[in-house]
Amino acid sequence: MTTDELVDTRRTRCPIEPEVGATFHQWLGERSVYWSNERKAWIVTGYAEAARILEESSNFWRDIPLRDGAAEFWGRHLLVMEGRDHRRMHAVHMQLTGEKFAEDMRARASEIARELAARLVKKGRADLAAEYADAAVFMIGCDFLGIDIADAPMMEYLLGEMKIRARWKEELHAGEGIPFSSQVAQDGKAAIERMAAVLLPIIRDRRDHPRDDLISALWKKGPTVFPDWNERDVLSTIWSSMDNETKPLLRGLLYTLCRDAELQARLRRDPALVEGFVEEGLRFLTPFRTIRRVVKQDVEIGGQTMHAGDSIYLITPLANRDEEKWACPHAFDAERKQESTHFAFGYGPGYCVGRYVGRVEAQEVIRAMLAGTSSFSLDPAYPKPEWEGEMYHSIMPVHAILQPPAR
Amino acid sequence: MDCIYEGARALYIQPEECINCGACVPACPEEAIYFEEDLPEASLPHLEDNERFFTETLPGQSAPLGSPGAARKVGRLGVDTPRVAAFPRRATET
Repeated sequence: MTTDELVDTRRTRCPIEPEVGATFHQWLGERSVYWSNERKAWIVTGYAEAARILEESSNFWRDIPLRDGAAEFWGRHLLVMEGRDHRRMHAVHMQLTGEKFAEDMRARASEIARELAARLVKKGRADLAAEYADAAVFMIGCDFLGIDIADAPMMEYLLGEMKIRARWKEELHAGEGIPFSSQVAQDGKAAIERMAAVLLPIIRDRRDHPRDDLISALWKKGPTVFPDWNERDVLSTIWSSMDNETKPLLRGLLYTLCRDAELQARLRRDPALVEGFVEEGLRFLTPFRTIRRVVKQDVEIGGQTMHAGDSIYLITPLANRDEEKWACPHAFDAERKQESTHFAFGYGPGYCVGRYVGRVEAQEVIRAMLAGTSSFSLDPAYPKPEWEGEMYHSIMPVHAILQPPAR
Repeated sequence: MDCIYEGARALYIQPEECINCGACVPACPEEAIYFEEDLPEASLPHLEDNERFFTETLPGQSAPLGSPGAARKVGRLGVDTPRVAAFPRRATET
């Protein structure tokens, strides 16, 4: 059976599945674990194999630390840690930004999103990807870090620089990465230093004058793992609050709503359904579409023998379409009961520490746009947006017409 | 995750079902959960005892609990390992 035939047999019931899947359907093979000569890596598409790879950190771990420029990009960040340091820092993150923190920040996230949505609705038209999804996540993150989001010029400056950094991030993580000497990496590094000039004084201020914010909490907890914890460690840690997978998730969710007026109406009538809508979006869109691992010791998996040093591409949206785990997995069902754990946030020791915050952010940003409009739809003045991205699977721009609520 | 099972006086982590995500460490109000390598020496006997909850037949049960796959399927078991059951009761325990 060809890959196209395999895709056709599995692509059912959802009108946007073909376009969403265009960036990962090509990875469907006849086996759930197979070798790709093109990528010189193992491709893993099966749920059980993906779970095992994500769980067994002694056999499989991130390849990020091995990439050229990773140390310069990430600093001493959780993503480049391993073993004991990783486990302890992961626990610190869960302590600081776990379920309770996420619920505590919900009201403020809603307030920020509603203000932003109202501003865009007043304009009547907006790129919901850049102007809403990306901006809302950035502002909510800055707010809980303790950065003054009322300082509009500073926020605009930082957001612009974060976009330059994000290009490096995407290229660094795609395929085999890019050299640190490349223009994209050098531009990204320069953007990081320009942002550092703004952020380090704030970070120092919170060291000397702690407040009730995440930067202050990081000063308190960081030294419990690293006694030499310093201002650059705090800086390295806070990037993830300002730029993360919630942005591509929200772009996709907003696009999905632009395409489905009936679903919009249903969620407006019953905002409690938004929680399930976001969860299904995580499973179906899986914005972090490729998780990379390197094999640490020879191991058998999925009927194949992987050798130490081999690379792995774990295609998460395909694992999240396992027919034994979800009924009609290629359908987007906003009211689906999620009986299985999806891998949109990874799993196991590397389980995303921002998963509670990300869910709350996404729920409140969607609720705010639904509450602030009577409807929104794709702007016909612009070409249809395309899904793309090697690491972040996303769609942008999402130009939309925003109708204010009926009086 | 759903790998923490409820006995009568203690909670037990199913080692085969735990995915080492660390979410329970900061969530435990008694600060009683550690990664294995960080476990204080004085608490090492609890490590084996925790495993016994799943591998040995507990009082009043007909077979070892094993790995049911999810604690919510089982609910409160109302029984502990003999070691935990023998601990003196704290004043706050009912």
